[in-house]
Amino acid sequence: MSPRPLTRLRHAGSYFVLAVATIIALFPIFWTMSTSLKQIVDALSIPPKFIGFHPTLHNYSRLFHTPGFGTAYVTTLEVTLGSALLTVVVGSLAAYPIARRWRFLGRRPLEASLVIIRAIPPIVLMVPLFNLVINHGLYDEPLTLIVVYSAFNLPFAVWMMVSFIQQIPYELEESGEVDGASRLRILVHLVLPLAAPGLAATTILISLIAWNEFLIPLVLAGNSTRTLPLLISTFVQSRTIDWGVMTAGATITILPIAILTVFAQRSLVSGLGLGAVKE
Amino acid sequence: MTAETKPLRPTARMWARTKLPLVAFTLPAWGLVVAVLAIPIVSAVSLSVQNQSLDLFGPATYVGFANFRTDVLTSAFVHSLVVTAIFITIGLLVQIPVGLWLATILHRELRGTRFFRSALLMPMLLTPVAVGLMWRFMFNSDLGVIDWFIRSTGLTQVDWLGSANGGFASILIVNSWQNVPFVMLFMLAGLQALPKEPFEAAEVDGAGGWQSFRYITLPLLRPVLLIVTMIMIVEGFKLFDIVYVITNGGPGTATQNLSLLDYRVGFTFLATSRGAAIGVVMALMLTPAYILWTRATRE
Amino acid sequence: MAAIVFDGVTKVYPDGTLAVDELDLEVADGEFVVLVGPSGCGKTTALRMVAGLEQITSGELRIGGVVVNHLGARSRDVAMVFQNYALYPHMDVAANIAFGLKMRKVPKARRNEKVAEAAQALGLSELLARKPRQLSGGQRQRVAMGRAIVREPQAFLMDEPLSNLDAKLRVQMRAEIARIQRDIGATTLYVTHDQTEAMTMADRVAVMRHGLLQQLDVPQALYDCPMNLFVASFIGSPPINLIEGAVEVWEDGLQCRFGGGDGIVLRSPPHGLRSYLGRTVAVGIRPEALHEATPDEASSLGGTVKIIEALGPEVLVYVDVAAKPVVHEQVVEGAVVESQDAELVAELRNRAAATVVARLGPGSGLEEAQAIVLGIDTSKLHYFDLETGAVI
Repeated sequence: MSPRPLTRLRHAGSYFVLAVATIIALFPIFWTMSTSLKQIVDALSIPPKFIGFHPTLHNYSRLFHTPGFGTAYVTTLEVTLGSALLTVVVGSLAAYPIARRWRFLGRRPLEASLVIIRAIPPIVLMVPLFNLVINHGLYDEPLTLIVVYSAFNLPFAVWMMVSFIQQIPYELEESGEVDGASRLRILVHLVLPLAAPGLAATTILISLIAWNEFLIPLVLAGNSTRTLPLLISTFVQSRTIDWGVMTAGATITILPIAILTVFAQRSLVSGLGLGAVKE
Repeated sequence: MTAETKPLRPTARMWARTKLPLVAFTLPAWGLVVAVLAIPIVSAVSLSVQNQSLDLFGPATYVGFANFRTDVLTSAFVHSLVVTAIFITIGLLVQIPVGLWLATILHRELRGTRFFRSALLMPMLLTPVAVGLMWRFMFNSDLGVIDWFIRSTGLTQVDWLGSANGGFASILIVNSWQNVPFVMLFMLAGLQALPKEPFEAAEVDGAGGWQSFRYITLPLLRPVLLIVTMIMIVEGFKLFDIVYVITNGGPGTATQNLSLLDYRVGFTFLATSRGAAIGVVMALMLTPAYILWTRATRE
Repeated sequence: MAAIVFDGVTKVYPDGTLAVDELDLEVADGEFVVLVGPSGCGKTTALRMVAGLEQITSGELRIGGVVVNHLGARSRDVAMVFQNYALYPHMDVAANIAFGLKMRKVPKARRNEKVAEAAQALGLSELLARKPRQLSGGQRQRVAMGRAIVREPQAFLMDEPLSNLDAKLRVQMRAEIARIQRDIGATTLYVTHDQTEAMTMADRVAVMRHGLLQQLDVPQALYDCPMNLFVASFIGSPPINLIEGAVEVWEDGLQCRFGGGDGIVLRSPPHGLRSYLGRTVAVGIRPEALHEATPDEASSLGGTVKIIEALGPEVLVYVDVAAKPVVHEQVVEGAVVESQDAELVAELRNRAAATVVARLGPGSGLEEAQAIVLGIDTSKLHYFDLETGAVI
């Protein structure tokens, strides 16, 4: 289209809107991070100090020394990576027959179950799960968290992998069949290697969701399996809130995600985009 | 000598060779589904008709629909339902237009779109609990930056965390902050999937920017809009983390939505059976969503 | 209706690609001009510049005397029929046709009238409530035309509208479009890669190659007097025969020697040919300029029959002759319909001996692998410079 002056104006308008939206999106993050680096005096000063304060790591040192912080961080890592692995493996396996649209025993019920897991408010399942977990001595166990996380994230993983698998031409599998490979071999040696970028995007996204989980550990985790989100939520429950430690905690929690977004942006968007349209 | 060819009957061996592996692939998934969905649901239904409570000792007994009468057909439940509905409705009214607007701008693919896209993406990926804390700090009446901003520009003061309306507003703001990126990405995917030619034809036919949007883009985006609306409604019922951290349902129970109510009854009061009853009703309320969603994914 | 004038119009893409190079072209009021050429020659770009869908880098484009370079598509009052029809998928046929009128704020009653008229003219009256996906290719094409006609624009622009139709339908629609154009007296700029469409439909044809206009003329002139090797190879089916000939003196005139055989006396050669004495030129012989030679015919070429195609009213005979074929990029581009036809291109490049096509009458009783002598009507020959490809 011809770059008439009107179009230039429209472009400027677009950039303005995007800039405003970006400020709205990033300011809270920036504010929290900068507050976490402020001494209490600066953090609580009115008018707020956007810049021009003396940074300190005091809040972080207090954060790291908070009882349970270390275990919380480690547990969160453990549970996140463990459940991501489980989810992606189980999800990819299940996604394969669904992606190729074969009819098989239990297909419809499985698809329906995945929809229900995705749509049902988790609290509905947490109430009975709590009971079951306690009764079977599975309370406060990382493995319990891993399994429950995986179940809740399974629909995402399956639907994302279905989209990615469908992008791989079926002829490759047919040629594998002719070459004598079993269905499992075809999946593991032909399909998944080619779906590697999709696998990566799915793993990243599922890890992210697992990292952010709150209600599940709130109900099923005890003192030794407390996760990071759980820990930082206690920072606002006392009468006097230590804003420095709280903002430091929030920053530590979201920092991996922020970094990931910057560096794995393309992977994330492709995963989200495909998953979104498929849904 | 001609041999008679018998029609091929599907044998068990054939099934074992072709279909069994497929079923086997889905077995681990079934394992998770049974453990976390099937069994708990059955357990929830059974719990809901008993009077189990974690602070009572002794076995639970069958009480029929008593729990439903005490917890579902009550003003507290209805109130929570209304709160949930308000969050969802106002949320949709804000998030969908804004998300769509940003998506159309990103769709123009101006320079730097990638940067803006990742910046705008971030809010939706962050840990909701952390996000709640971040905003709670900003909403604080004395120390928060938002109040300072309002005071210096002379707008009316809002008691974000202490008043009912303020509480609603604060949760809606944070929820929208996190949801708009999702709507935006979803609509962007939808826009990118539209064919380019009808738009060129519309331009030659004399349609201006707004006309083209109203008569061509919107109607063609209808299916995508419907799906994203459905997803947001489902997500609205699930809303928990942010409310828990920012207002905890308060002040009082002003911002207590259904999820929070169920949590309170089931875990704060430890009345698991009553909690189960509420949960069962919540799950049933979403049945239309399950049906629509399944139909949508089947396409 | 208005005239369309390209005045030195150039289009360069941001990445540096030159799509249209100083195009000078006038489409008179009510005239049907066809832009023809192989893929990538710039014809579609030129058309889209008239529509306002591509920006003009330099030069002036005038519609109805008004310079429209900076005017947006919607302000230009032109109508376009797209290659893939570009119908609005969510609207029914009636709404599709009426859309342009709606955008121009034509009142509803009048809109419905005009839609009914157009539907009547195009045989779409029964289909007005259908959606595009329920229509066949030919029907969609007519809806696209209806959408264009109903607006009574200053000019019609058509971008290869027939290329997605099957052969029979294409022939039918060619006639339809030509008829409609004549009835309405519409100024039309039509783009196609099919030279048959160009020859049969156009008042004038503009042949384009690599963004440059090669020749602009009425169809017959393009056939009888091609200005370069490209136009000569492009226009005419089967393509013109091109072989290398050495120019030599013969008594008062000139003769031409193909390969190692006897020289052939040239009747009425062009003046410019004299300056090529002692050099080789490309000689173009249309299939109908060849016939079965009489025993004592002087101008003849001997060879072996390779393939015979009996088409009913005529027979196409492919003969291998002892002459060098002209291998010039203009010929390669011109004779190949789709420039992506790599096999054909490679084959043309690798030809060692020339295969010549002759258009003979039926019942010649020829057989493959038979020896044959072809007589040449030397008054109908075309001569081209082997380097530049320009006509002599």
